[in-house]
Amino acid sequence: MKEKAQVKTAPDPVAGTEEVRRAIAALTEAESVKLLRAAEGAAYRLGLRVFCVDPKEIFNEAVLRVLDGRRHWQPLKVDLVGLLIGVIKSIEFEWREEAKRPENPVLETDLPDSNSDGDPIPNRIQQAADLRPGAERQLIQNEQITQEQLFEQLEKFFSDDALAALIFSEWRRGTKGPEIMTALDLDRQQFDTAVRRMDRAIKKHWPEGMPDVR
Amino acid sequence: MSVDTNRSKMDLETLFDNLAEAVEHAPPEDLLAEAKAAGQDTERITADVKNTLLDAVRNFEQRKLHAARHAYRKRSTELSCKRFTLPDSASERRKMLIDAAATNQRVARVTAKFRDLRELSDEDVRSALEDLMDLGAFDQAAEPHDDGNK
Repeated sequence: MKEKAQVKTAPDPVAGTEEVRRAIAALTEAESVKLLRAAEGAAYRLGLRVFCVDPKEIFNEAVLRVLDGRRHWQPLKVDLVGLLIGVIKSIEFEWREEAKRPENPVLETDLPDSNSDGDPIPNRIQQAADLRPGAERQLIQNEQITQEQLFEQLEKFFSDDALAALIFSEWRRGTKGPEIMTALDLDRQQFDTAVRRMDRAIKKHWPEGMPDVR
Repeated sequence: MSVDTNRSKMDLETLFDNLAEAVEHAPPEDLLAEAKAAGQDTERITADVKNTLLDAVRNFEQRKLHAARHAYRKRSTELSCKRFTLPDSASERRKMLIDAAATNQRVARVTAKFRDLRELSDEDVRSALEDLMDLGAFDQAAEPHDDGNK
């Protein structure tokens, strides 16, 4: 029996700083627009949770991650645009997750005490505190809407765009993109174009960022 | 097809991901056409995007250079600290001074004012060595070997 010859293949080369620089210089107009759209979208969505993020900051972080080795670029496998779009997506996810973490550690005095039965009893601070929300907090709470209220508002924005309204409604039902495409007999391009119309409608309505939800 | 329950099965994060994917999958030419249709100056966008990305590369290189300089300074300081470590015992310190005065002209010139190095107090020996080290008299790189046979 013949043994299979083991062919050792060299790993795909990883691009260095010079190659990254050359690829940036060679970006086409269309590719540049795509990258900006991705970074602007991420910055807009992050604006809900993270203070003052702009597309430049996201580009800077993306390039830094590629050059310092946190993300390896293998030009034979993916082009620079594909790589940067993926990195921007990771940055958005990570920063969004970081923003969810509590800013201040929980102090021991803030932890609820419990009686011998294990039932929670208010600690001294809780006993002394006026637990009614302050005027400022009350104002913020009044201004915040629920996620459902936000989605209802969004559905109204899309009422003039039958396809967008249908896609959004299906998303709310938990239907995934590929299933929606099949059900509505849409190709990827038609589906994505409708979704980008939603994206533009949202930004047009809330140019400074979507309202926070409680 | 309408929402049949009061509560959405989608959350805000999923909506964000869905919106991002529509750009991620889009052919660049479609996005270029949309930008032009919206009246955006796409040539300007191209120049701005390239400049921002190239600035980021420059920032990285400067950070790398800064880190290399910092590492070099740290290493130099560590080496200096090693060179400037005095022996623990008084007798070893005195021997170091006497040996140096015999072999190193710079040390000999500085210690010439002392009649006999063996009679110096331990404190004076330590002080003399520290002064000589501050002057770089024991810096091997500056004066690798001085055997006085010039």
